[in-house]
Amino acid sequence: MKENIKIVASLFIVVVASLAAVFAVEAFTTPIINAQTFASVEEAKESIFSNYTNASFTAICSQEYENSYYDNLDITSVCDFDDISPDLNDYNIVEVTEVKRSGSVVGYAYWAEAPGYAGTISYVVGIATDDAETVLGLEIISHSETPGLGSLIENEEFTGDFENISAAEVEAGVDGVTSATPTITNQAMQGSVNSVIAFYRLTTQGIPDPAGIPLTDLEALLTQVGYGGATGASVYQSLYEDDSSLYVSEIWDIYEIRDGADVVGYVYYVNFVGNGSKSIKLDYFIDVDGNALDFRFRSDSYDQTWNDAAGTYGNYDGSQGTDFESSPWLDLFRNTTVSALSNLNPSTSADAVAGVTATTAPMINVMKTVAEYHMEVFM
Amino acid sequence: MAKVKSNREILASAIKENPIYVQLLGMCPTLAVTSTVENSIGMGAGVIFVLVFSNLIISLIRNFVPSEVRIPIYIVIIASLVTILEFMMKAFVPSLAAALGVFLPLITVNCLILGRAESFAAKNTPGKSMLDGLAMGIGFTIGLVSIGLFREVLGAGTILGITVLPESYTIGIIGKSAGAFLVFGTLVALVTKLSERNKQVA
Repeated sequence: MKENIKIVASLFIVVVASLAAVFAVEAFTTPIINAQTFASVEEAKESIFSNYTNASFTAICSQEYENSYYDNLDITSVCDFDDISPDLNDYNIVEVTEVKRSGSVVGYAYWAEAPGYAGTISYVVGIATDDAETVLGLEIISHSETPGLGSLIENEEFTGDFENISAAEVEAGVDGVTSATPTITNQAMQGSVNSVIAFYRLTTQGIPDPAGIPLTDLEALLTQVGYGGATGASVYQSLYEDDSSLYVSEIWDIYEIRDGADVVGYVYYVNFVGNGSKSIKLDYFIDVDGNALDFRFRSDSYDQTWNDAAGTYGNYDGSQGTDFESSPWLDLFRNTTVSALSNLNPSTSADAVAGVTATTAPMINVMKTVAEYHMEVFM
Repeated sequence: MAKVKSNREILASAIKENPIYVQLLGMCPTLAVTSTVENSIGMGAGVIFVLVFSNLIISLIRNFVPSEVRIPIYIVIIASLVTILEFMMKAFVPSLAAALGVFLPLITVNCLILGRAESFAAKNTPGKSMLDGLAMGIGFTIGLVSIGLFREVLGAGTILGITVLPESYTIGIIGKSAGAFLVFGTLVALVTKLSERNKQVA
């Protein structure tokens, strides 16, 4: 008995003492570490815009980052621009800095975070407000990727891919880190930079016009869900014209579907980034009662190389060789309800077979986004 | 009970009982981070830091720790030490932290640290334990750097980033994971062969 007490007591003392020491050191060093992070972010901004002599940097919005370092800036995730107030959270952006020279805006520096393989990758990327939307440079602030593999993003070979290159070329996909296979790190960085570019376009060029759904795609989908002969018209613009928060970058258009005079449902035209940074487009039918019936991948998705779940990666049903578009995994999104969709979680409910991959996680995320949007706006 | 080692013997154990080539401890970082000399030095420096301090603390408390729970206690201490070290380095030597940053968390699971805690620090005085930590850390670093040297020269044609071999003469696989096994296996065989010959001569 006495022995047992000694064992428990000694373990307890060691754990408490260790925790106390760790917390004490953390509390003491966090402000110092943060100050260094902020200093290196400022340094990165200046080095990215080093060709713009005498440029001035003004942070215009910033999320809370540990102990934030601005005295005169409201710390909030909502960033106010002329016609739109996007939420920085949706783009994984920590802070937006306006870069001015002789009174006019020459570009923006974004401090952003990408979900890497082993924690968050924090970086700064600069975009010039010229016609080519030149991405001026990218600097990694901190990361904890695997040494020798994912950690290669620090190197010039990787960051150089983001130097003086048009935003369109970056979106088309950079080479990434080539040693071994740090695909998760590469895709995280590519996806995150793409979303920063989307944020840049949205805030400098305003909300784009709705994309429009080709009639053949719309008719095919309506026939598939048993509303052949119904007609649709875009209602998206009228929604976000009044309230810019109703614009969601993944939703490119929304059609109201009428069978005769009755509204029977809505079709969402959705665009998101799948495996290999290729975009996946689909049309999704949700009826007036909130039943999410069915969807079709857009025919123009096939114009580019289909990079998702082809060949050996087609095992979404546990067997190989299935094309993603006909994969049984997708039944997760058929004949269900928006409330069920909104409860999906990419890290737990991808499904028992596939786990979370570069395709299933963004697919689940975008379906959640649509479901939440539908419940907020139409139900 | 083994006899107490002299300080000279402890220092010599960096080579004679080299953690990598003789004890074969800490293989995971050995294989994973030795793709370049710079990475090897970084990992080695981190291990020296942690090993010296974990040996010190464990030696100080060696008479109070019940032997049934010594392993969990050592692990808690080592993990806390690594975390504290990471915070301190980030705060006060950020340039070193930037270079070592990614290696530090890996040190927690390096069995060399636990191995020395168990086999040396738990039985020796704090002074000797720190010396042992230093010797073992240096031995580990020598091992890492030697593997890193071969892998960087043969795999990338560089030493510390400076080109020494034209690219057409490099063997790409040596810089990859499989190359780590090839180089490591060859070097262990070589070291074993040499040390056996030494024994015969003696």
